[in-house]
Amino acid sequence: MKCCKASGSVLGGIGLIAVLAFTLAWLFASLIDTTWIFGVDMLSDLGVSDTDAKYFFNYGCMIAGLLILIFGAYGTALNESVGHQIASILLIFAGIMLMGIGLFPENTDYHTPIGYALIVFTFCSMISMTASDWRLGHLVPGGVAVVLIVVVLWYVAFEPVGAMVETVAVICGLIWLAVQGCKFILE
Amino acid sequence: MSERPGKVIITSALAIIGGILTIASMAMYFNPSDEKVLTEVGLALLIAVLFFAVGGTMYRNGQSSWKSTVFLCFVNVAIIACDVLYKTMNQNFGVVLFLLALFVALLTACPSTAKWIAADRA
Repeated sequence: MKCCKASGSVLGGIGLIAVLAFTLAWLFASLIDTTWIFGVDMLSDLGVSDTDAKYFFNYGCMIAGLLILIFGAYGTALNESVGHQIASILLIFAGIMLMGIGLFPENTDYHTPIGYALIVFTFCSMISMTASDWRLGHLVPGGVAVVLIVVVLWYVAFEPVGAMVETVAVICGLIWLAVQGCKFILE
Repeated sequence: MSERPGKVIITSALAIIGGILTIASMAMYFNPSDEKVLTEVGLALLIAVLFFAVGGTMYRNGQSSWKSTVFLCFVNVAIIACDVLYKTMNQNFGVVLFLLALFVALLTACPSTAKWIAADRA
């Protein structure tokens, strides 16, 4: 990393705040909209809720997306490894897509392609970062990412595509981002 | 050639215990009338094989490199997690095996284990 320890801490902190922002938005939205059921309803249903949950969810997505975009951009500037840089660039696109999820809720035409793009960008970023972590000898964050990738692939392969798969993928993505944040702070 | 460090001995012992426990749990909870029986048996055997593979690496003349062994450890953790989440394994045994596999993975990822595998194992 072409930076001092403080830069790494800032980068990791941005990642952790992004995870916290999305988790809190999801938590408050699901607490407000009591008709939403974990693992049964799609996450995006919160964005078109009849209650104030839609504001929490949509603004939460936009804030978290912006933070992920900054995390990706800052990571691209700070990291020297090509794998890390590719992963960071993909995270920039993932951040833009997450902002798009908040801007274009489920009842618009753009929502579904943006949702798929978000998953693809995040998953490719995970793979690129994991390969790079492995090469650089960061085996614990790389190993956690391997576990998360296998769990996501398992659910995609053996569960019908729906709310549960989406929920597991999002939780795995959040855990991965949190681990990456901790990695940059401790590095 | 140096003696095996304590951490390496503990890692190999835990991995072998993990393999034995997996096969024991499969035998104890085997239910041929279950529609997922093939998944249950297949995954349990896969987990046991990965545990034994990791345990075997920690002996002299073991063949896998350090990074490959750590990779196998984390794949094992992932498969146990999927097995528990998918409910194709007894949940209590699954949690125990998950923690055991995670502990083995973290011990294997230690730099001292890497040093022994790279320099002193052969």
